[in-house]
Amino acid sequence: MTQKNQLLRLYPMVESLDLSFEFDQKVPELDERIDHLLTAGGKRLRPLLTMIFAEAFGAEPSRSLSFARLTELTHVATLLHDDVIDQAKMRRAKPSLNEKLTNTHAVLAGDALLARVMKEMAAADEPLILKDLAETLDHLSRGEWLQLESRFQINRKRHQLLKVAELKTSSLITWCVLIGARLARCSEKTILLCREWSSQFGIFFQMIDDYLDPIGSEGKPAWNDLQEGLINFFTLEMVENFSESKQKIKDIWEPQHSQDFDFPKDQMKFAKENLRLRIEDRKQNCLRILEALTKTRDFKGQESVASVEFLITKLESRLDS
Amino acid sequence: MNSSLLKLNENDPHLKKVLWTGKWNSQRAVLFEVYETADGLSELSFKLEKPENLNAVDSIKRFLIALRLYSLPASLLPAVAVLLLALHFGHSITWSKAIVAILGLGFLHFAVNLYNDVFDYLRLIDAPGERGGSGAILKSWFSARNIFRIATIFLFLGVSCGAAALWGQWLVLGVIVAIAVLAVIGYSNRPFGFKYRALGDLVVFFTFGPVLTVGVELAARESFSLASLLIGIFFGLGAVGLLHVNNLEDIHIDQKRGAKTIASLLGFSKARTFLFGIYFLMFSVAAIAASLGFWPKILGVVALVLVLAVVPLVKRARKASGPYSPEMENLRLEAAKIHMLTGLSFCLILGWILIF
Repeated sequence: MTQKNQLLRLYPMVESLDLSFEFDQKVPELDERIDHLLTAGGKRLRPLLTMIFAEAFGAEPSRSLSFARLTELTHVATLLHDDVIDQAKMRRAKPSLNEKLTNTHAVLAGDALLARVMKEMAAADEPLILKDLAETLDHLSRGEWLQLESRFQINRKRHQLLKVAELKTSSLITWCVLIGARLARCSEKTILLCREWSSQFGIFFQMIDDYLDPIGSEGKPAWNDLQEGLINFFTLEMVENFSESKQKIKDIWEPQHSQDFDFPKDQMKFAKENLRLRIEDRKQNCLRILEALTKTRDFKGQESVASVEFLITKLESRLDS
Repeated sequence: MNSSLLKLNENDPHLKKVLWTGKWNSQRAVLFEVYETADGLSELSFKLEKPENLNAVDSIKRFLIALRLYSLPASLLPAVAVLLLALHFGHSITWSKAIVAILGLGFLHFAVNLYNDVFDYLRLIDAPGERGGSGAILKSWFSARNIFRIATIFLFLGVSCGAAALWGQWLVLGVIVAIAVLAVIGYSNRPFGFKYRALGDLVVFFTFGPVLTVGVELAARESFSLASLLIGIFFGLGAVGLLHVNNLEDIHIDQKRGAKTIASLLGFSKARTFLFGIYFLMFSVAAIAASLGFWPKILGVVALVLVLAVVPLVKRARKASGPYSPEMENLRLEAAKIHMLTGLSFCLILGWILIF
């Protein structure tokens, strides 16, 4: 089966995931908002990763699918909280919940979703997966904390950005990947490799997102991070290498300054080239770790390799969009 | 794309050569990313580029950055202060020897800066995009090999000046030169690597403190006083404060890389208290030295006024929730300011007393 066909085989499963659920205590306004959010689209990358790795380790598909559903619910809950922290106005090309209602509403909706995830997790009786989720939520909070503290700080260092990416982006991906490994009762060595792969994949994913930030993607305006006072992997290249760009960013952050994002073309080109190389670097790391994973005795689905490779290629193709 | 990637892990036989020469098949190999695999191996990515064509002015500018000229007052000001203090107490000074000693001090300071850059780079303590060092090797301005060679020349010059300044005082010469060489070479080099064994603070305290001031006074007048020892302790503590703030900011990196510093061993909260303790001790020494008559009283007053310079640093450090907190941003500059300000104030006040 070709890489593409392999992924296409799994994709309908996650695309048709039933994300709805019944609440014990109905609060129609809240339930409707949550329903609306869950059906608002999204790439479903996280459930897809859960399914790919669960299949790779030979976990039972129906069990994996129910956990895949929980990964998407958790992701949406974290987005709700993220939008409050970032004061984001848009989410998936629509006004975010905090923009439509209030921050308090968005926080409560996120809490309600997480509570639902917890309830279903408890019923699934997989303590290690529950433990991994708790760890993920802990890391997410820590990542958000660090990011919050870094707002309007021009002298961010690469290791600080990497730390935030690992805590904010890689942590949820790690949970998604580990679900399959936990269900299939994989060895500790395999778990470690899964963690390493997820860490690299999360950074790869974040770097692509940051690469697209200057043009805007997925309904976000261009230079969204900069407008939120954040240095990302793209702007870091400019800050690290050009004092002129660094000064310009400082000026943009001045309260009364006009939002002129017209950076010198040669500096933009340099930043793009450098970041592209870093994305390639992370991609190679992902592929190397994947190869190491295939050599473990836990790895049973060689065709899953093709899925992962296709997924990586597909994400990378966003760079040329 | 004009550049390409080279990936090597720490077991690769080519790695040492690439790190040492900064080259791969006649291309410039700029260290790009370092990360640790699940097996605990370091994996390194290099960006391969065409060699640069630099003019002489730019090369000199880069060399001066590599020397970290801005750090020089940390060793020179205490040396000048101790000479002024000796003059204040009416001691006669052999100026030629004093100047040669200060010159040697400068060379040794450059040597330790450069060696530190080389060994922090080779040990991957200084990784791309992190603080630390001058960045001259990381940015591939110079190869580790070339910086090492220049550092060795400075070490030789420093020892030669030290020997000339202390000529005739054989025991003192032996002890001071042995301490200086051990500190310069052993600070970051194998087999000692003091700074990675939580001994950096101690080495910095002695070399930028009592050994420095007593050594300069011995060179200048073949004797030393308790006043210069106390000046050494005072400035030595200031230098430790500066180092400790650096280590406090780098606590996560050092813990990750297995480099032991007092800060990384204590953890952020306790290390912060330790920092406050260093400054408390520093200014207590000044107060005691001045009140007991070892220093002119005015120095005690100046030191007490300078406590105000420590207040912003303490406030920011207290407010910081961790090493990544915005309050920690460039806190090292505050510490450097304190050291510079105390050095300059002491020298100016002592000079003023001598003239008027």
